[in-house]
Amino acid sequence: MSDNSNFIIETSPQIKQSDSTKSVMWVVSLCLLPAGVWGVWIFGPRVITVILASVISAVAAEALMGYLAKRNTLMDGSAVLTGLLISYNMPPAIPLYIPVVASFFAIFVVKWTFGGLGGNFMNPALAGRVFVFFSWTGHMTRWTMPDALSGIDTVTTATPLGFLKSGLLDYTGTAVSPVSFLVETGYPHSTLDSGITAWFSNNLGLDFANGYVDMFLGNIPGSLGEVSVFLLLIGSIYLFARKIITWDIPVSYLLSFGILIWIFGGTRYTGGTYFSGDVVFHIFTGGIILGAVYMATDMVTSPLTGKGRIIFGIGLGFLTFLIRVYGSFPEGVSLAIILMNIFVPMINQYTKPKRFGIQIKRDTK
Amino acid sequence: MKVQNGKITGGYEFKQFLGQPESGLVVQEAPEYLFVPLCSASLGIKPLVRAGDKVKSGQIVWQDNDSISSPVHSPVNGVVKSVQKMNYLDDEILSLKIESASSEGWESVPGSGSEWNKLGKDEIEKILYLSGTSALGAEGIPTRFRTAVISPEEVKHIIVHYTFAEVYNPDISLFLDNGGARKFTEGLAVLAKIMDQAEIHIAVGINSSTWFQVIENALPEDLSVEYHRVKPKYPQNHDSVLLKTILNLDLPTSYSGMNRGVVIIGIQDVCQVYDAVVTGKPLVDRIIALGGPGFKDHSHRQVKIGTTVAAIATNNLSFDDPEDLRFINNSVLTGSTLSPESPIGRNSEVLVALEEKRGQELMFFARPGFGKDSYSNTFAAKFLPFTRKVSTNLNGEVRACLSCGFCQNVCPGGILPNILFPYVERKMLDETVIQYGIFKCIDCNLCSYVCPSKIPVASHLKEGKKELLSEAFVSEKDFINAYNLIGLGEATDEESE
Repeated sequence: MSDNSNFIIETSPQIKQSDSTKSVMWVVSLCLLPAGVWGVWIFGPRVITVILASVISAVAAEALMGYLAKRNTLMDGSAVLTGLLISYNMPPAIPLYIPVVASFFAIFVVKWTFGGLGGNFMNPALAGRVFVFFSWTGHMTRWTMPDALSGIDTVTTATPLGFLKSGLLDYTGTAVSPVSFLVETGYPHSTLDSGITAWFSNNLGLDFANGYVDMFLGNIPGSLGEVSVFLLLIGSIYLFARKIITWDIPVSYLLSFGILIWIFGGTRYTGGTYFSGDVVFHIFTGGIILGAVYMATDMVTSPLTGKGRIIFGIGLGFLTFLIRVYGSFPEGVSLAIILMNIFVPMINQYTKPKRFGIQIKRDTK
Repeated sequence: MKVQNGKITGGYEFKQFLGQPESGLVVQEAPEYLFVPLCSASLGIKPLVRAGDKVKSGQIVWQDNDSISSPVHSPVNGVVKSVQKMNYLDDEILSLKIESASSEGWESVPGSGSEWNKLGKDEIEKILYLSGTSALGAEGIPTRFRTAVISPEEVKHIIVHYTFAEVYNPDISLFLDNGGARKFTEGLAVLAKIMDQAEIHIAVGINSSTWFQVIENALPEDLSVEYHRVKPKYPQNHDSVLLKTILNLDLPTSYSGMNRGVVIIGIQDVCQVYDAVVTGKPLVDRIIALGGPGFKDHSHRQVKIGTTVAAIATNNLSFDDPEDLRFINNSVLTGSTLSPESPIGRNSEVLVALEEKRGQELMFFARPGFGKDSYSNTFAAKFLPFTRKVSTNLNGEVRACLSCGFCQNVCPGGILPNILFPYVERKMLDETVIQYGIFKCIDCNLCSYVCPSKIPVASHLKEGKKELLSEAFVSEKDFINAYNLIGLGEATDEESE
């Protein structure tokens, strides 16, 4: 009973608002949940074991470190969120030891060697993901077709971005945009996609190529939690409404990325020109929405001021664009975010509010 | 009538809190015993009466001409029981225990009357001093009797404010309805006469700005007033924010508006100035608003000064055991805790009773929390019809700082509390901390309020400022020179001599 004194305030302010670290983590996890359920739905029940493996190992790692550091940090919910984000960045068919290693690396090395929650300079989930990506690149790039498309290719395939990257290397065709390239080379799309595309074309007069609807809803191969842009956006609306995340990072990230893609994205194609990149395709594919809304906005590893966060977002947009369009990897969100995380102290240094207050003039003898 | 809009940076709007004071006034009978606060015990000035003396309502029982103070009156007719030390508002004070016989009438202040306009400045100041009303306002009303740190000639502005910035605010209509506006404006005229160099500003929260017209209609012809519509955002009622939004003046930490020649005063205070000068009523009672879910009836109380909290709370609590409650003076964000034996003082305006909630609710973090105030919910809550209940619960445990930026978003000083507090925590106090603006902190405590990690940020900042001053990184002189402060030079010179 004596512990109860920890929960009341003795001095002014005599009241406290009801948000807590715990509730923030809980709300973010909750907003991520629909996208995970979608992953289970389209990639099959095995995905549940991947999610559970990462979450349980992250919590176990946190419990162990908390025990060693004699601090009870298990209940703050950050380990669950880290585990959840790691699993969302895994291919559905991943061997289970990989997310476990990623979770332990994230919690042990990235988070606790810097002092636990609040002390890490890099997003633990992404650092864990990048660690296992370079350790088991083969497993980390083996993708599964969603059930809706699996009539065409049952075992493994490439994500739209990966398909594009490898396909463009020796491409001599006439396509000048990613989607027309995919259509031309026979990349599959679902019957739902054809249906909706046709409906838009017939009823609203909006014509767009097959494939966009699949990308938006998440009927594409990819990491199990990143594919459904639609459900991730729904979660993010709640986060915005609750002010758990602010607009500056997602907006500046997506805007700068979109502008760069629009300017330079078309130049990778034979006969492509400037100012013709397909922005929608690049935003709907890969992990950019998951990254921009849920991972780049991590409070601990993003800059302190609004101006700093916009610089951070622009840096993310530039790096993601650079890696995706000119780099050797099909996908650059996780690398871009952890790279920009490293720049955060420097951004903070230059964007702190103007120094003000009293001017102290002293005699310096 | 021209109304200006004041702009506050940062701040936080407390909305839809349960247990708001309601209009309606109950005159509370004086209880059997009253404890009249006299002065700080360290000042040690004895009262003019002794135990066993009979006192009359309105009789001066304490007076000191050397320190900056105003006389204290007996609020009732009765007998002095004892002079005792007690803890009150984080200070040890001398108080007078008076057994009340009757609370009828009062001894009129000599010289007062409706013909006050014909009196000289010195005579009006004397009335204010003898009635004790010169003790009102944030830092007193300046007169030639050392009732404030500056003299009336040095006052450049008077700000009368009613900003609705706090969680629980008194009802403005009690003072302005039913001819109240006439009294209020005449009180203003009295103040304008003694502080003849001053411009008068009236600042009212946006949701009550219709009162401007009421005041304007009642205003004497020779009195000109500037009206300011301000946002009902905490801490708009703090000196430095009022100075910034209304006069665009900067004020460093821990100094009052008085140090820049600004008298800041409430509407009730002005009405009491009127009472003193026109009807000769000394400062014997106050109108107190009752706020917070701890009270059953939230109408205002007119109580004698020295009435204990317990006497006000009798038969009006929503809990059986008063131990489950916490009483707070004026503001839940900056006010001090009052024990049930504590009296109502001359500057009390609101009495808040909150539930003392211990322990944690089961799975509290997973609840949507509509019935509670949460920073992240403020946007969404505009569209939801829920009222919010507050208690003294921490709503979580102290955890590491996440750099979520809530504190910097609400900070009215525009500083980064989340950067500053670790410096204090690690005792790394030097000029860097000053350059990051630690002295722009105005002790509004909002950062502690919004922190989801429940870190006592504001206490850290307060401690840091104290350390810096005691280690002579900054001195009073630096502030006086940088901000053109007045009312301090004398004090520091005396110390050095």
